[in-house]
Amino acid sequence: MSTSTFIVGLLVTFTIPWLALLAVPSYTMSKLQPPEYIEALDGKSGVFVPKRAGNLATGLQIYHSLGCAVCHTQMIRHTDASGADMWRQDWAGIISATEGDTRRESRWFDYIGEDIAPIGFMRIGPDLANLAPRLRERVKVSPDDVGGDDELAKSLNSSGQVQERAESWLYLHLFNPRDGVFGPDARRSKCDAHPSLFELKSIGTERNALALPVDAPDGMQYLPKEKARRLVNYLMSMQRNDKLPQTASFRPKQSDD
Amino acid sequence: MSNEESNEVVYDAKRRAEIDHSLRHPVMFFFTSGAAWLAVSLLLGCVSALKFAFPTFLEGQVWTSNGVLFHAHLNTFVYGWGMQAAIGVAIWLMARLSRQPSRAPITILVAGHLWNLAVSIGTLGILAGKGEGIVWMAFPRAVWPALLAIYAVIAVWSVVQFRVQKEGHVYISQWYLLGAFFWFPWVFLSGHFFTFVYNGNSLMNAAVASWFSSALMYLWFVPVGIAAIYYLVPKVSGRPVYSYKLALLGFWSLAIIAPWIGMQKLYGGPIPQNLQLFGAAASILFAIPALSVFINIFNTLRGRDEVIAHSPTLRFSFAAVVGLLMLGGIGFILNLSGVLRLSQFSISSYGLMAAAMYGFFSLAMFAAIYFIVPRLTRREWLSRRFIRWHFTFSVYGALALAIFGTLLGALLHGKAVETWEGFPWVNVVKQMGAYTTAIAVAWLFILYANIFFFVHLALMWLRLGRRSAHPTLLTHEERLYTDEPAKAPTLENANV
Repeated sequence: MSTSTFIVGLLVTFTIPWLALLAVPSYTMSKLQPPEYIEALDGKSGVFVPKRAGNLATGLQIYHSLGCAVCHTQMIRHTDASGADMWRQDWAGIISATEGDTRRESRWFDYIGEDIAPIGFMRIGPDLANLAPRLRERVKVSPDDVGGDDELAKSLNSSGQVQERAESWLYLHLFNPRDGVFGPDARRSKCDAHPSLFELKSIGTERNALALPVDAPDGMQYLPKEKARRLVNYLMSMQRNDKLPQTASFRPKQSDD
Repeated sequence: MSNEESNEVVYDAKRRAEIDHSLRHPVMFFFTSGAAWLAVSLLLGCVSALKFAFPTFLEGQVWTSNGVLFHAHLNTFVYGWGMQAAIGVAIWLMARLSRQPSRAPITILVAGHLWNLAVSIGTLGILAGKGEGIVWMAFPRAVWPALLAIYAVIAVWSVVQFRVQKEGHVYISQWYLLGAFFWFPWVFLSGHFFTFVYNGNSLMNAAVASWFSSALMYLWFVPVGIAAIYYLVPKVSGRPVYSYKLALLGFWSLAIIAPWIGMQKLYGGPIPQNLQLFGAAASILFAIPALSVFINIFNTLRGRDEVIAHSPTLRFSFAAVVGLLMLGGIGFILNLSGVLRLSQFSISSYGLMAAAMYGFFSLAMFAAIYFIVPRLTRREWLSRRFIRWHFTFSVYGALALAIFGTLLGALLHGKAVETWEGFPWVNVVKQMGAYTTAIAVAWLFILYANIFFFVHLALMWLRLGRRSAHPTLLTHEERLYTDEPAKAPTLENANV
């Protein structure tokens, strides 16, 4: 084997996959346009814009830097690949009385606005693609909100609305994922506790709405730092359950597989 | 032996000594600082693995959280230990095979110090919570251009040697080394470019990131490990490589298959499906290069059990090719249709990496280090027992990683996640406990094994090795093994 054949061989065998896996898909995927509504099918027109409020850029950066993606994925796989993500309870979306069945597989436009999609490495913890609706469902209080876990909801920020209680759940999860408030199974959680994202502050005249529902020294309360607030803000933006244009929407059938 | 021939032998020996002498400082530096990083990485890995099983262990700070420790462990393993060991072995092999003393040992040594500085900054960045949080790319993003530039300085001086070699042919090891030197910058640059710089689709950025870790493993660490083995095995056993054609098949199948591996990580995700399927198919086909290297080395060493048992280098080389075969087999199983969906997000994502990087690559590097260090320091290894313990516990640890971290971990953890009906998440967590604990035990074994290695290497570095003409062999008798295992410079006679 001469040196020149060797070099040509290396160039050819590497350039082809480099083009096919990296360069060309990176370019074509960057040119994708979100699906559009069609008047006749959807009753409205215009471009579909994913409904994600929140501090995506800095929140995601914190999510990455704390290594959350080591144990949490954010991808509901196609049912052809695996039905488990779609059908595992509340992962792909929720079935609610008001909104119906919002479950769907992850689509490319779910990751718009993110720098590097945190698809995740292992599933040591549950998938987070639809974290926000799932949490809201869990912290509902009867009789106003049907379903949910009353005990849990009351121990959290009981004065607030569902959204605030869900955020309160996340703050507590970041502070101590094994807190008894989450129920008896929570002690088995393998998640990191991040007390350093919180600070102990004097209560002053009034207890802050964001204060953690945990024991603190007299007259003191645990409050989330800026970093924790940004992270929770990002986490609450994780919902992929909005109604898609008909052309982009399809509902996989649940099989026994 | 005629006079002319004996002159030739003396000349060869002199030339080898010259080459070793020219590279003694940079190569020893890469080995010792690499070993120091291995110590750091193994400690971090043990703590991280323990935290997967017992999360309240060392709790409270950002730098003690597992998300951060895990990335620090992987990145120090890859860039601290893996890259430095690989560079040390590669530049030494390149010089030996090209029969040229290094022309720029000082430049390479300075570059080595800078490399360590960059890795230290990156690791502190991760621990401070400023990392990028991407597997094998977790250093803060200012670090990677520095790493690439430092690599370029080192590699240029090594590849230049190849170009200026005076006569003779290209050895099998040289193909792999040249391939690795060619692939690394391209993989490293395009991996980081498409992930961090190119402002495209965030999913493609993630897909390229997962391609990157595979590509770096299969196109840099695997070829450097194979190069070391193809050099050491004929050299120490005194046998030519069994089949040149098989070696050719092994090399070109690796070159053709390995660049396609990686995007199966996004199987079922919203990126073009062919990318995912190429990744899975290539992971399965990787069994071909792995098998051909195994068969070739196995046949080269066939019937020389005693030499394998006695030579530290051959022991580690043989264990490494078994590790490579296992890597091929595990990759084959985990990516089969129906299994990939189980393994994709299971513990095997980590287990396969750990098994490959320790069970193949690191063992191959140890084989090379046990061979090279006495030639650089002109001292022999001090303790047979240390080498034997290093070997035994390493092999147990690597086996445990392969069995619990990949095969069982993937299939049972994956199966638990897949059982969506009537199997709440807490059951998944309960089931996982067995495998995370097993991985922690495996790393503890490996840490224990390497304590002997670190101490031994430090003694050699301090020039406290034995002054002897006889290599340290793992014989059970008290007397030293007096037969020269390789009398002639056997590689020169090899069928290459």
